Amino acid sequence: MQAWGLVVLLVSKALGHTSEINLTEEDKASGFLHSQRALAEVTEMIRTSHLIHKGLMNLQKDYIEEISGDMVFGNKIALLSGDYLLSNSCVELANLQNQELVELMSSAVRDLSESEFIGLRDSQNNPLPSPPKKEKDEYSFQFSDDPLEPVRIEDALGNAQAEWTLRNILEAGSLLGKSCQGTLKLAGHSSDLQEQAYRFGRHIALAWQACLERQPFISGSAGPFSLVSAPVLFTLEYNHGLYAEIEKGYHNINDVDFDEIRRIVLEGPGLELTKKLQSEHSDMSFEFLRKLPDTEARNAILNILAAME
Amino acid sequence: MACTGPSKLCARICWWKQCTQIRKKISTTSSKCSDERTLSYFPKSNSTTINSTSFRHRDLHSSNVADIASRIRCYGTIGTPQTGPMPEYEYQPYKLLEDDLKDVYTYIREALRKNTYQDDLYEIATYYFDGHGKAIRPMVAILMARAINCHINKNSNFLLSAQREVGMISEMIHTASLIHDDVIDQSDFRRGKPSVNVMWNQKKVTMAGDFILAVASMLIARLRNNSVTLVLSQVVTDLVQGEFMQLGSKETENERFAHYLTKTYRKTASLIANSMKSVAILAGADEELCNLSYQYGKNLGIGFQLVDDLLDFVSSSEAMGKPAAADLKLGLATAPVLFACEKFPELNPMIMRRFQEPGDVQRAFELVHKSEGLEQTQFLAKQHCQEAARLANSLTESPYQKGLIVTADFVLNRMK
Repeated sequence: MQAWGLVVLLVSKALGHTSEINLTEEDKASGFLHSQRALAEVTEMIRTSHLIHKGLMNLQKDYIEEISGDMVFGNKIALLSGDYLLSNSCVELANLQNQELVELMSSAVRDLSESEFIGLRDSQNNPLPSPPKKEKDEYSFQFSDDPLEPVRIEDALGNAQAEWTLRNILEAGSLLGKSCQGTLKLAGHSSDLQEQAYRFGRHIALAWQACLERQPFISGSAGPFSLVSAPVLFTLEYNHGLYAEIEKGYHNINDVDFDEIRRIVLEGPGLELTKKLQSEHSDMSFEFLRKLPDTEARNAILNILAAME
Repeated sequence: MACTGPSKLCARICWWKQCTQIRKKISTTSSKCSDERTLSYFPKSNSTTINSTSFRHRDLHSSNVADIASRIRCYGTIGTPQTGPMPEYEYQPYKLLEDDLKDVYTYIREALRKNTYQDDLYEIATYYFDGHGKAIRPMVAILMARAINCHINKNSNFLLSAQREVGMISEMIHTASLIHDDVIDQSDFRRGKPSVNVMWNQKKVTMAGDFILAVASMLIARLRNNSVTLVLSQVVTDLVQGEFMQLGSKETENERFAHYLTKTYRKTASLIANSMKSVAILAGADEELCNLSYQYGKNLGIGFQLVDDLLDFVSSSEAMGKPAAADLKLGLATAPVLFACEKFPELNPMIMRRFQEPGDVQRAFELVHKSEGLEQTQFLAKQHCQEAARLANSLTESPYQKGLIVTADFVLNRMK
């Protein structure tokens, strides 16, 4: 499913372009510019490349007893395939001949690579939550105004909502936000509107993420889930005792008892708070869409938001 | 081209003899052979293949550095024969650019620092920017930039900050690819220290490579030059495709050599060639001059890699900072092996199975030393470096232009 490219194209279509842009016949038929389609492809390539690189194995000799040739070859192919997508996205972007856009999208790649360095990691670099702060503070994660600036961690770790936001801005929000901003840049829209689109993209990505993270907790679910997903983080903040179970996964997250954690999460307020978090981000996305003319493209995005609820 | 007339040829032969104190004669039969073999590749000339034993029968692990060093230096030097072990150049490129180069690594580390607040990411990303590298890419980029600037504006002496940045960027792209190579090859050592992938979690290392590339792309975009961005983005694609080519090999010998040369262009020469082109574009050079700049870089890059592949067979692990015969151990058949299998067809199946069977590496190593593979590789490298020098020679005379010629020589005769 290429959902992100789809959102980028829908945003492109919903906002159209300024009169300074010259259209080709093909652009007129599709409702967005050729360059915007290319950008949507770049978004997907960057995202996929990151997912592939995230899927590598850590084959350090200290951690793996016997490294087989197949494992090394698998890593090799995964690494190169990710690089192939990344290098193609470089060329695609360069072809658009818009250096502000190249800079913006490159900063999204930077953010994605940073996301793998936040907080504690097991030997396969899977994330573990930070120990919850003794007392819940009112700290809330502040977005930087300049998308080209790297994200600051400050006091985010150990505060459920701030830590979740930080992780997911880097891993998801930044790329979709910057793609939405970029597509308006290509259509010649004002920097004010571009900025709004950036925020919209960030919010819809976070709403989406929160929605996905609720899935492993619906009734009848089994098996592992992300230990840094919103339901777990919120539960930890409410029940510090749960961290003892998390600590079992320091070396390998699969050493934790996922069913036990699921049971504790379901007893606490974690899911409810995640639902609320999702609604907040959905509402912010809706804020942006509300101001747009009533078009098929806009309504399609509204339907996506509605389907998540 | 050197070796064009009989008298010149004769002079060269005398010099070769002096240098290497070889007892054997110039083997015309083998030179004929090598001509046919590579005819389609380099310009036809009365090439001679020096049939020397100096490279031969060298044990895989006990090579004496100084001994080999003194012998290699005697091989193919551009221009007039020099006396003494290492020529003293009037235009030492590193000296010439001392001021330009002294801060390259600092600038790179600063650019990376500004782009992350994650200390472990910063640490991995800057691991190879410790100032111990040769910085050959920034060096040639800046050298070419200054030479082109002098060529366009006579008697001028300046360097655009954008051109300096291209030098930095080329080193960053190179390092990003090194870091990924380390994970791919599971290598233990690089530049005489443990490689990144044994120091840190390999998933983090991979991400650090992506990070360096992303920051480099941001720096490229900030130059605000459409052509330069296009040219440098091509480099990244070439690097990846070159790496893919290295995974496979071809059945027939001719295809295999072409495959090797294309791979060499993509993995090594493209970065140097396109950085050269970029600094020329930034100088406002016309198409012809940009192309000259590109061709210089391409020839230098291919020459550089050929010498690298040669040194893998003759240089000790101490000198290279990585194990000897590393390429064979990785299953790679480089120029010396490809040339050698002309004389020893038994190498063919070994190439096809990527030297995987016990004893393959040792056997292939010995066969290469028994063949003319090393001399032929040296010869091919010389062709490329001479071509680079010829192109540099057509630029307006300046210390930097001289430096480019010296660099071509330096690349050919380097020890590590």
